[in-house]
Amino acid sequence: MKVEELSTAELATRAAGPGLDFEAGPFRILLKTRLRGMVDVFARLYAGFPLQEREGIHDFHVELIDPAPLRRRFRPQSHFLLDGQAPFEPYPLDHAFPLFEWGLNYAIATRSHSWCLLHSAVVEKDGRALLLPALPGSGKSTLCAALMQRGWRLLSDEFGILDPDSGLLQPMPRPIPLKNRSIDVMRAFAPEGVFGPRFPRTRKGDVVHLAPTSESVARQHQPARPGWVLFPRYRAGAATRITPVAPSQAFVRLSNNAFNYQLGGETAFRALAALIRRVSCHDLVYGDLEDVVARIEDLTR
Amino acid sequence: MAFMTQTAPDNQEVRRWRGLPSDRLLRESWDEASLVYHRESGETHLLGPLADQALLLLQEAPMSLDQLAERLAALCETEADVHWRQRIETLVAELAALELVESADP
Repeated sequence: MKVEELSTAELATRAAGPGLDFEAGPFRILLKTRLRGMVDVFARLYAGFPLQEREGIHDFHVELIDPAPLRRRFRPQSHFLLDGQAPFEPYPLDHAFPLFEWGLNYAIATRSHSWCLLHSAVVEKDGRALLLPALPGSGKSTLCAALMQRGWRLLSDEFGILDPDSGLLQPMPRPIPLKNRSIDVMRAFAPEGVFGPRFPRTRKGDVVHLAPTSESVARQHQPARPGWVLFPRYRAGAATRITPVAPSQAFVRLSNNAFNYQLGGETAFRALAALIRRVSCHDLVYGDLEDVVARIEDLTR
Repeated sequence: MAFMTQTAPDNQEVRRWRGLPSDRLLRESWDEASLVYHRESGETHLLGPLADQALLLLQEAPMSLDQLAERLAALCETEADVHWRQRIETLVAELAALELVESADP
């Protein structure tokens, strides 16, 4: 049964009781919450995700709670609990959904060391994956969202989950957080997209989430072979420019920016070296979404 | 001409250097550079072509700085003059600091 097949009332009852049991790529998550606003946003942005009915072990037990209902009148808050522990300071109550998303990213980044976790957006077309590794603010989420809305399959906007044994990238499609100016840019670029509500003045500015396409969710267990690495950098008004990057430089950038390269030891070294051998690497400067999407289509054809 | 740092005042033998055995390192090479993973420290190092070649030569057999400078000069088709030798001395010191080469003498 998919999330969208339940009414929000049914979803809320389940969330407050046994929990919402779902998979995001290789991870199984149990989410419990009584925060109705959180459930409403989840219902919209995770609509296509199957809810698990079978018994099993969860990678992450997550709770979103209002820790002190009595203080709700003057400053309501939401807490993110991971296996009963609160790793973060509380957020305003109406920011529970972005807190959930960031908290889940934190859980994955700090606990999933059987994978080589690259800090990268990843999309796929015709069986080959395009990695967009970058630091926050480089425009990787915006570019990744634009490619998804033009038919690429979303694997992740944040994690390049590299299987060191197979060399394949594992999908983990989840809502893409668009921030500040990119919100209106993406609404204009892809008005057909499924957008969540605006969360104003979060710690990362205004945030609106874009749901993964139904194809991305339906194929969330199909890994992809690495094909290209593009290091994106957004520059307002800049013409699209794509220039080659030496493989050794690409390796250094990817490893420096990975979540767990040091922990992975020689397994991570071998995995990353194998990935670099299979891909072509480029720097990408862009200032216009339509143009850059067309150029990427040409490059990857 | 030997380096001042190589020749002890009492005419002891010139120090020789050797590269860490290849089974203690992982190497991934491209045209422009190599990456070397040091299995004991867990560190990854980016080596330019000259440093990489120096490491390979010192893995083949221990040699003095003079010998290494001569071999590298021949490979690079350059003259092993004093500036070249100083460059190689600096290079070996850097490789030693990364624990990729070490003294071959007790």
